[in-house]
Amino acid sequence: MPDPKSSRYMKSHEWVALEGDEAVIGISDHAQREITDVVFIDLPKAGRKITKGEAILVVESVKAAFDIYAPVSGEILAVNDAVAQNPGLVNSSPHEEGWFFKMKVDDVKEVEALMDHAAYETFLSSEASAH
Amino acid sequence: MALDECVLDSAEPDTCYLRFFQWAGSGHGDAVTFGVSMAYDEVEAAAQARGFPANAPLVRRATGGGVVYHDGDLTFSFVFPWSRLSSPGLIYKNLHLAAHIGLKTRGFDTRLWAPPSAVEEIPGVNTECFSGPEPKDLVLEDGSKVLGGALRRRGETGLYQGSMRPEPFQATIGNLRDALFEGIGLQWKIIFEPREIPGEALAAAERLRHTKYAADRWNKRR
Repeated sequence: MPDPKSSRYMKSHEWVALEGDEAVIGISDHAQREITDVVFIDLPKAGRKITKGEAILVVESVKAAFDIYAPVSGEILAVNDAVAQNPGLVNSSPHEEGWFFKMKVDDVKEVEALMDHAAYETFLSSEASAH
Repeated sequence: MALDECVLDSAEPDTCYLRFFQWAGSGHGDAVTFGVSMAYDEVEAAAQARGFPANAPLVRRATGGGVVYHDGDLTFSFVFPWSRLSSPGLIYKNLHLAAHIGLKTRGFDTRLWAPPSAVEEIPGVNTECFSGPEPKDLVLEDGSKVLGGALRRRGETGLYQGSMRPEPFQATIGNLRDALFEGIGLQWKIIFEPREIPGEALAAAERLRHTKYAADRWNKRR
């Protein structure tokens, strides 16, 4: 299972867990708390090529719909059917069972350029104090 | 819908956009919009059961939420920097409070709805927008919902698409529009400047309408 402390993060709260040149993508615990109860996830299809920063899926909660972005470029290898069937997994297990998809990464340097866990925690603190 | 998405995608930082519009038609069965993840067949069946004409457009919104029957309602969209409030619950509360303030200045009494008991706030999805209030919805004293909305967050920008029923107020659409305009300006501390929508934005919206919101590939995607 991906370890949140080893994952990398975007400012838009997606996490990336890298193993070799493959990565697992999900959203952070902070994001799931902001989104609230997830009721539907519109996952992309395996085989799709994605570009860093591209909006690739939509998560809908009882409150709103949210665009989720590709943290890095590559190709989607598999999607998490379990989370599509049970969207609440995003809330109950955002870093483990609530992952969205697995992908082959074009350039692992794109992952390494993202925030590590400590930087992400600092970013969250600065966002919280700004509000 | 297309114009809303174009504004959402091209919004300047720290800028809010408020747009009022109405669906073309006679005021009965003009159109139906529904939330981004709803099933088209279910919406179609519900619209027919409600007596909407078979040729009324059924349009999937970019925002979440349920089914809205547009038959004389006041519809509006509000695009704003998400960081201003950052949580959907706060956004709904502040927008609906804004409406409450604007309506109050015109002598209309409304309130933000709360469930009878704090422990009864059970999350769930109302498939029809005005079938029953959700916490922080704007209601009359008798609890009937008069303003509903749905949100979309895209990057650092949010889009709220709202619908207000004019019948309970026995007011004109113009009167209600002015109430919302003033209330949102006051509550969100915005000084609005009237603007014409640029020609290129209208052209982009027309292209998007053609390729997305008027297309089965989008509306019947689920």
